[in-house]
Amino acid sequence: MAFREAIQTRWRQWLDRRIPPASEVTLGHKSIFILPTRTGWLFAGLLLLLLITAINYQNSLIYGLAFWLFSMGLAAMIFTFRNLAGLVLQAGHVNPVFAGDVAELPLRLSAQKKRLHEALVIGYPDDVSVVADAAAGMKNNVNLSYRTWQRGWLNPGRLRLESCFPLGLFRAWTWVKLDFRGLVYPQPEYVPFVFAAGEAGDQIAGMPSRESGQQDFHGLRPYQPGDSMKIIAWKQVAQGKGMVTKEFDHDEGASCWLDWESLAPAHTETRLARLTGWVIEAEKRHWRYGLRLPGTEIAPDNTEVHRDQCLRALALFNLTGGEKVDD
Amino acid sequence: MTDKQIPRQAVWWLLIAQAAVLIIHIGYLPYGIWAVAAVIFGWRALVHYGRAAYPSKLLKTLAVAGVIAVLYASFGRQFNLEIASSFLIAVSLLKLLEMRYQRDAYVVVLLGFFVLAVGFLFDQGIRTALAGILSAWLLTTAWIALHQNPLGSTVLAHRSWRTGKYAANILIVSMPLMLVFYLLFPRMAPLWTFKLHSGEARTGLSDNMAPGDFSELSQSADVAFRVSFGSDEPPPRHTLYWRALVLNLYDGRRWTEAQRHADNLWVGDQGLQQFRQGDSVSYEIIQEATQKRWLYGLKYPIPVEKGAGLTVNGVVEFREPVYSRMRYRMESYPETSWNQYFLDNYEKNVSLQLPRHSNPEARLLAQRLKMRYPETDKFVAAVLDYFRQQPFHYTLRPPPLGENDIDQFLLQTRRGFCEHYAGAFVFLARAAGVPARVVTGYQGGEWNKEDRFLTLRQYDAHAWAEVWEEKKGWVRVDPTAVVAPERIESGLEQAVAEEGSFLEDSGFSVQKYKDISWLNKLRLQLDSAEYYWQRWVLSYDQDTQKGFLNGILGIADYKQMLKVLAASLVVFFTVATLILWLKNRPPRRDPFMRQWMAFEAKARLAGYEVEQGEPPTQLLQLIADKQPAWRARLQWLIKEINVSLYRDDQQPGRAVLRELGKLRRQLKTQ
Repeated sequence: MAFREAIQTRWRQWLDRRIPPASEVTLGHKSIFILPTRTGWLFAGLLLLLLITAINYQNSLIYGLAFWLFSMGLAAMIFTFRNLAGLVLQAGHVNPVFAGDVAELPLRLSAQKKRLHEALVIGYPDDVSVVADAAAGMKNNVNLSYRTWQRGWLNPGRLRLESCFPLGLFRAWTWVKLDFRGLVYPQPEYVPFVFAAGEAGDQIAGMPSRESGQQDFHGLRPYQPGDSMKIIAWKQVAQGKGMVTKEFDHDEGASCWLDWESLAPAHTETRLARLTGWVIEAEKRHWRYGLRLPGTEIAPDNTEVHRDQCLRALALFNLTGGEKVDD
Repeated sequence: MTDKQIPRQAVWWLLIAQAAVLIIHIGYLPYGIWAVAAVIFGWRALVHYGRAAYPSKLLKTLAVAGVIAVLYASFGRQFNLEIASSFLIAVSLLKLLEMRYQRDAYVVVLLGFFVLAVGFLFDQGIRTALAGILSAWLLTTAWIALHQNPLGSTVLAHRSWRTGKYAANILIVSMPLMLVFYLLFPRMAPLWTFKLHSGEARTGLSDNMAPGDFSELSQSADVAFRVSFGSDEPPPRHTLYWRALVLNLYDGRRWTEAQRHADNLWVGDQGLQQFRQGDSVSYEIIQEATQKRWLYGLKYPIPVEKGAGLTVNGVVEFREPVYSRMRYRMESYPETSWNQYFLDNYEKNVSLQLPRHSNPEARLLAQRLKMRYPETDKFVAAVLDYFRQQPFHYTLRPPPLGENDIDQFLLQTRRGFCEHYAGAFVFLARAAGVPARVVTGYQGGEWNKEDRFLTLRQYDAHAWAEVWEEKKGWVRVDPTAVVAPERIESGLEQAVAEEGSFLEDSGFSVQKYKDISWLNKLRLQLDSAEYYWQRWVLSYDQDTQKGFLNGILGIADYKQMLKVLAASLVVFFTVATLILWLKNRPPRRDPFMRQWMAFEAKARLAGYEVEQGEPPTQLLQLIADKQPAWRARLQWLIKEINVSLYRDDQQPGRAVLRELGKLRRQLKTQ
């Protein structure tokens, strides 16, 4: 095992030297790898068969065909390489996602003058690949999928771009590390609110009751992930009307602090997950909420910018600023 | 590997390519296979449009059984190249039907190339070659379409045409290397002998002769062989008797050959040398496949091609049947004294043999003439006089003859084609005790003045006679030349012009319109093209290769050949890489961008970095904040750069570039 890991590390280091990470990569001799495919070997078998037929029947046209196909096979290597060479990959802006969700990474492919890159299969090793073409003078934007699994700055590693075009005898591929700048928020965990009691400033006028679902019934709304089991309208569910949630009076204007300390003694990541859940929930309930983390305090408010600020603080908590989490 | 779907646009290309490959096999493919092909093409097209389902397992089994039944019905129990190739085609058609994923399509394409190659076993003419190139192009196009974006990208308009162009591009790019390999790859003798050969009956001479055979053969304008001579002019036409077979056994109806292969003198045998006397005519023949062993030659032929041998009858044989077009050299020694090759008893008896009791009147006539002219040459002249003086007709429509056919021909009908005259003459000679035999082959031929070669077609087939004269050996006697001198001097067309029977049964043929001058010219030019094709492309074998390489390139042995091959591969890749490199160089950036990027890189090393999307001058601002000493210079730079960047018509001046460079050198890396 250790041996394999060592090899993988060496491989990664070598790749980093050969194709350094960047926000824009142009594929060239240094970054393209090429090897024959299984079809390539099958084709070689056909060539041998043709050659034997030509020799045994002393047939000039079969000689010609065999040599033509042979030359085509060699030319295919160059054409396959050329299909990738000169292609420019640019990373686009990534919208923040929650850990565990699939992030959409916009990738722009541009071709140089008069060039055409066909049937490019692009994707991250463990995620779904997309097939795209790139032609000069056209907008070729594709969205790559990448399943995130850790909070912090997005770091999807190397993506694989490959193509067997035009003859499938050779596969040309590259591993590119593109700097996709994007945030991954912690995966939210929904637990009932807990507000630290007794401290000044914790509770302001119009404080919501500590447990949700105790207010006056207001109406029904479609179920949303994260709704408490207690407030689901089970009667309607049983009648086959789908998942419906009972809605209670909003506590609009209520104000609270979401505090790191109130979640003690849970583990750091658990606390962050729960705080994230709270932020989303509080936002939804139109409360004015503030966030207290060790070393950070964000005053109560209820705006999208405020929410993003809180989530960003949660995402980057305890990570040195701007640095990426290594995967 | 996952099962990749076939891109929709590829299916049509695959169908078209497969159809093109079939067309090469048009010559022999039974109707049953065409019917199977039509059903499969229709079905696959319906599947493509979602109107029909893929065949179920049961249907597939039935289809295989059906194909085998069709093949059995068309070919019976024989086994030859036709049935093997038909079976291969049927398999590739069935594969086409069940083709669902990319790997199936690979099999279809690769099988397609193989079926194409098999087609070349039947014919290697220029038309087949052109059809082959077309098929190869279509197959390559289908092959490429197979790898295109299956979603049919919106980026690329006019997709199909582009794919075709791409395929043509690949084919053309690979051509130079193909030619190098074609010329330099060491040609070798067959590794083992295939017993699988075409069983197709070809029109041509047969190994026996009966009245009516040649007039039938004369309806065909197929090429029998082509000849080029060492000199610019061919020998006179009336000497151009191309010998193929000597028929010396007669059973009362049919002339056949008494075979004595054991006495053949093969090329390499010392015995052949004794015949090389006096002047020689050397010539080169490209013979179409006959499936028979004989080769063609003028009188007193000496074979020079390995595998050929001279028979005691003075014709040349090959060691095995000629299954495909063959090019060989021959020599003839008109002045040789074959007397050393005297008529042995066996030969004499055979050459006098006649069935008993047939054709009594002919025998009587012969004996009467022999009484008056005891010398052989006088006797021969008398018989020829008989043909000349009596009202004999040379005709392609001879009346059928019953029993005692020679009597009937000589005294009643007197209408016949060359085989009637040759047969009757030999009969008369033998009846008179003069050793005689029938010789078949071709006579005359069409001389192509521009390219200087002679073409002999099936309608040039001819039969004549030979008699043994003491001290002279076998002497040619052609009774046809007496009855119809124009047959020998100008050819069959002139000889039967009055009758109008030239090629009358063969439907359309350009041969019939020789008097339309432009058509005739075109015909001759196509003929020349075909000839050159056969001579230089098809006959490129071990010996030709040796001669070519030694003579033109100075390559003497295999080692050198392989070295040149390797070198050409290196050249191919070097040129390709060079072209790729030249084409892929990123466009040169303008001087400011180059300077700026260098500056940015250095600044990053020095610890100054700006977020993506921020204006470039932000970087300068950042440095200015940290390095108060440079503030004035940086402020000036910011202003200058901003002015030029936001005005399209102006590039930052030289002073800006110089300043940036200076700053870059002054930046200290951390």
